[in-house]
Amino acid sequence: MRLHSKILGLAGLVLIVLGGVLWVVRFQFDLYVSITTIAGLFLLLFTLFVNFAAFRDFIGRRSTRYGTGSIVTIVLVLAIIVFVEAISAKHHVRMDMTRNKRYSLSEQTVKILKGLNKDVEALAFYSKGNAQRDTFERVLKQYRYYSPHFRYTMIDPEMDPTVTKEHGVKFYGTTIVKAEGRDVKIEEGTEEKLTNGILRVLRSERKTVYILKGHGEAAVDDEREGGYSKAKDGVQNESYEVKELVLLREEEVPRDAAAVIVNGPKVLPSDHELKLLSNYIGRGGSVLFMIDPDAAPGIEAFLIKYGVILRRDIVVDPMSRMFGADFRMPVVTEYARHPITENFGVASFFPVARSVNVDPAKASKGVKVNVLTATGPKSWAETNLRELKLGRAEFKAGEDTMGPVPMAAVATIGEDQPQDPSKTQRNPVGKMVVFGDSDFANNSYLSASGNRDLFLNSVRWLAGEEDFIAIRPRSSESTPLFLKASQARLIFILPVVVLPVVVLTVGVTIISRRKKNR
Amino acid sequence: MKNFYPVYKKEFATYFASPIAYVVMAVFLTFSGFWFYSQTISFYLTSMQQAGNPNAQLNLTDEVVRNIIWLMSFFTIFVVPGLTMRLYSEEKKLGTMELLFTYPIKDIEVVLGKGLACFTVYAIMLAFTLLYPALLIMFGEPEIGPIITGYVGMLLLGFAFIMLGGFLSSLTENQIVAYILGMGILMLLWVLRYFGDFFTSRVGQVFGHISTSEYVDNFSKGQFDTKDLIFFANFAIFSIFLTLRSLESKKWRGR
Repeated sequence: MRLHSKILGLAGLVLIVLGGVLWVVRFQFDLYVSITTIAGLFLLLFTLFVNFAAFRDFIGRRSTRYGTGSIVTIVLVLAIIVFVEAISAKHHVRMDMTRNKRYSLSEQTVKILKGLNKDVEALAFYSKGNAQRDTFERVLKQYRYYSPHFRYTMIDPEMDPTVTKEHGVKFYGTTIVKAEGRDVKIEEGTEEKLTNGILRVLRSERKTVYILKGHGEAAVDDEREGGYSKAKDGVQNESYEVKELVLLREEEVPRDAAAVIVNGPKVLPSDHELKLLSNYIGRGGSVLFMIDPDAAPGIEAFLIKYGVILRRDIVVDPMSRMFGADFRMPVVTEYARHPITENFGVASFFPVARSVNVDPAKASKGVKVNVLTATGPKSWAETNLRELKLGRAEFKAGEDTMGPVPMAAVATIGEDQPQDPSKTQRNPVGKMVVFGDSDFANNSYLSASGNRDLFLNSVRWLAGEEDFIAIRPRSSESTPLFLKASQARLIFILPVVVLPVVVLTVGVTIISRRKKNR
Repeated sequence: MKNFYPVYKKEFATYFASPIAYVVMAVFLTFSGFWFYSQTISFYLTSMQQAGNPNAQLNLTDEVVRNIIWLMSFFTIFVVPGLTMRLYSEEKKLGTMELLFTYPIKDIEVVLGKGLACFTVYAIMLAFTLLYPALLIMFGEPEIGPIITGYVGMLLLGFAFIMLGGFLSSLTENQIVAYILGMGILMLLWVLRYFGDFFTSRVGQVFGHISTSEYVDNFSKGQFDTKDLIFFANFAIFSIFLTLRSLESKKWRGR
């Protein structure tokens, strides 16, 4: 073959390859791609044509035949392998060997995904440089794995500013979950937020949780330590609206109220308000009472109708000293069998609380009341508040009641009423949960141990969403490492020095022995 | 498959007769050992610092075990070609390749014999590193699951890489070339998924799928996925196939 035709032929090949690369990069067979490829093809054919005789000989040679045969088989095998890979990518089985399966989705999420029968789409707006992008995409992939109705797209706000603006996305790391024409915005890329987002978007009506205002309760917009802004966020993430309720001005508790929260009133609500609450409960409403020690005097009379007894005491728990806390911060470890505390394994802390006792005998007809949580056996309810203020507390038999001390009560009203056959709707069942402290859910203490779950589960049960009660997804266990100086030295010497030296010594021995034997 | 065993035995013995295997092992163990030490001590220091903090998220498995598995897998990019570079290149140089072809041994027996001998050396090297999780278990509470998946993963990875290294070694007489090729290709495959960002999402996905670090991520976290197993199996099988073709081509090319 003449030199220039060789070069031409090579150029032709190069152009074809370039065309292929361009096609991949642009992902469509457009003008540039076609021109390059066709030009390459032309050059190649031209070379072939000009050197036809030489070419014919080349084909005839045995080495070419074997070589082509090889290439063909190689391509064939590669195609099979690619096919196998494609199938394996779609249908694969995954085993999570971590102790608490923390890299897998929680059972609750899986249950929800498996039961999903409507199309849900998630648009995740993460820029390419964002460290959380990959992690969240893995989470999204798992969602997809469990439900064919779930789809997701990763969008880079920098590459797609129009789409980003269209959806009103202002911050990177936001995800929009869409279904049935509605959409919900999630600001954090976690499994918890995503699952709740899915639930929120699928819910057709918005439920509202009202928080009572006007008696010195902690404000929901207060972000300071004693405020309730974190609790508000928590409730909103459970897909409820949160609104303040000034009951004094109303004629009745709003009809769209899924629940009313009374978080630590300092003074007693007026008779008018109490009457409205009791009416609300009577027609199937749900109220969460959190009454601090020595606060709202007089509320006892209201609560006793529901079988809940509040005394003038403060619970003292020596066990909390073990956790580094004051003994006036009781540790709650006993939980009753109830949807709110199902699967509860963690303790909760109540900073300065009163006991919440139940006496079904004192309750009105139709009320079923039970203890929900209690402290451990070494605690007691101290009635001598003066001594306590001075920092001294001693159990006095007869005056004080020994633990376990009940710390919360749960009641249903009207549950055992016979169904009226003339009505198609079920009888309304009122619900109530009473805690002897409101601080455990404020900004300082909400994230302590089981407090958040206890609070949110109560709200959920009250608002009627039992199916979705879930323990937050597992995070890694804390397994710190503590070493003595000798152990630390061992950790250096054995791996870094001893091991390589052993290997080298063995090597030297074996090799020199061989040399000796020669 | 009768002749597989003699090939395997001979190759294995050759490894231990030359200093290369020991040097490679010692270097790998030194680097891994030092990395293990630094990760463990730094975790210990953080544990001490955070001792009074109940909210600290300190997980020995996530921080230390995962990192050492990850790094050892990354090291194999440098170490495995060192072990495989002499598999065929030496024979070609010494001229014993033709001799090999005259024996009534099937090519596949040669490939598997040599490959598995190399793999055994690699496995021995990994076995030495079991010292690290052993130390962790003695002094702390690592989770066993991720340790198991980590080592199984590294064995699979090593097997696949060794088969590729073998193929590259069969292409040239020059061991250095075989090493550089091996290291270069393995490194490329490792970082490939990060390049996916520059291309369309489809291409990016393909890159991610053939990138080896993607799978190391999984087994270093305690996830065992059939996807990973199949990927490495395919990788190994394809490399073995290419080696067979390469050996065959030597025969009819007469070189």
